[in-house]
Amino acid sequence: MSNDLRSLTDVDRLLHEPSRAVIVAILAAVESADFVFLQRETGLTKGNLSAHLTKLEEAGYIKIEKTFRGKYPLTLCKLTETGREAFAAYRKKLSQFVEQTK
Amino acid sequence: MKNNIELAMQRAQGYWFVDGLSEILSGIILALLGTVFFFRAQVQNAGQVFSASNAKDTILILGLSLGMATVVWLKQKITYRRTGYVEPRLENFGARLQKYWKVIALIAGVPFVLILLMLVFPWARAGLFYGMTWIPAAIGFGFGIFMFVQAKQTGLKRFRILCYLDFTLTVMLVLLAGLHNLNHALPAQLFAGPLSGPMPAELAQAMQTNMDYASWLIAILCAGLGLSRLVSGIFTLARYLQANPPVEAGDE
Repeated sequence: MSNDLRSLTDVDRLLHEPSRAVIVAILAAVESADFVFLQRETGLTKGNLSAHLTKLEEAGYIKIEKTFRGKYPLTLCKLTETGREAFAAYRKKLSQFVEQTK
Repeated sequence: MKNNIELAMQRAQGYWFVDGLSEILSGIILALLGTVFFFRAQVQNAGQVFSASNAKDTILILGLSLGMATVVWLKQKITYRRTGYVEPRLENFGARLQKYWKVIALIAGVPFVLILLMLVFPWARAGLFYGMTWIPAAIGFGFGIFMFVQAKQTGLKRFRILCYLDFTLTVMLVLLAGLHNLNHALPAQLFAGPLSGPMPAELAQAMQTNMDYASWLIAILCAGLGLSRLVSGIFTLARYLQANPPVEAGDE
């Protein structure tokens, strides 16, 4: 395997999944976002989104806060500093890979 | 071409503008300011000019504070129930300063250089006289640049259209200011004398004419900017409400 291709093997596997990458990308662009917004933007089912959010929370990449806005339940998701750094490193690695294999 | 990750980030960044409410607010404020400047251009006595100035300040302070609070309240009632809640990410003061220090230095430096030039060179003093009529075009250009940056950051097509409209309006104001200055040229020797001493009556009268005309141009600018933002905002809100029914409680 060439070095160019090998550089992709040590990419963050947790983020190297399209749905999770998009969830983290959205959260990287904002301070926090709720479940409804994430579901609309990703097009995932509630169950799927919940599963991905749980995985990201367990890895310490996001923080989930369950609260209420009036009578409406509000599940707020926020990227942690660890998550932000992991996403920046992931993007850098992907960009390098794309550049090297051009 | 942008990839999916960049598009997702761009969409999230532009979410504040998804419902058109902030455009409606800015449209209303600009339209009100246009009305005040229209009134200012009509009046002559100092009392009325003072009232117009107070009205302008009141609209700016109340519009930005109460208007912003109203937009946030409306978003809670309309937007967050339909398409979810997003808290925008704001950079801290240090990061913003680091990012925009060149623009800040330019904005602070231009008036300083202009004043220096006017103190030294007579032709620059003539520039001050004619400069008043260019101010509305400069403001329009500033709005155009602001919309260009917003369009680039959020990827919203309607912001690009607003940017083109702002630049078109700016060109129109440049032409109007140029025509006015051509028709109101004053003898160059009026600007060649020392800066001290009373201002010649002819020059004072001409400056008043220029200030009135600048008010007209600002009224046109604010009306144009306000109308374009109002139309864009109302159209966006109507489309948004049609496409997004409210999410029932307990849906998440």
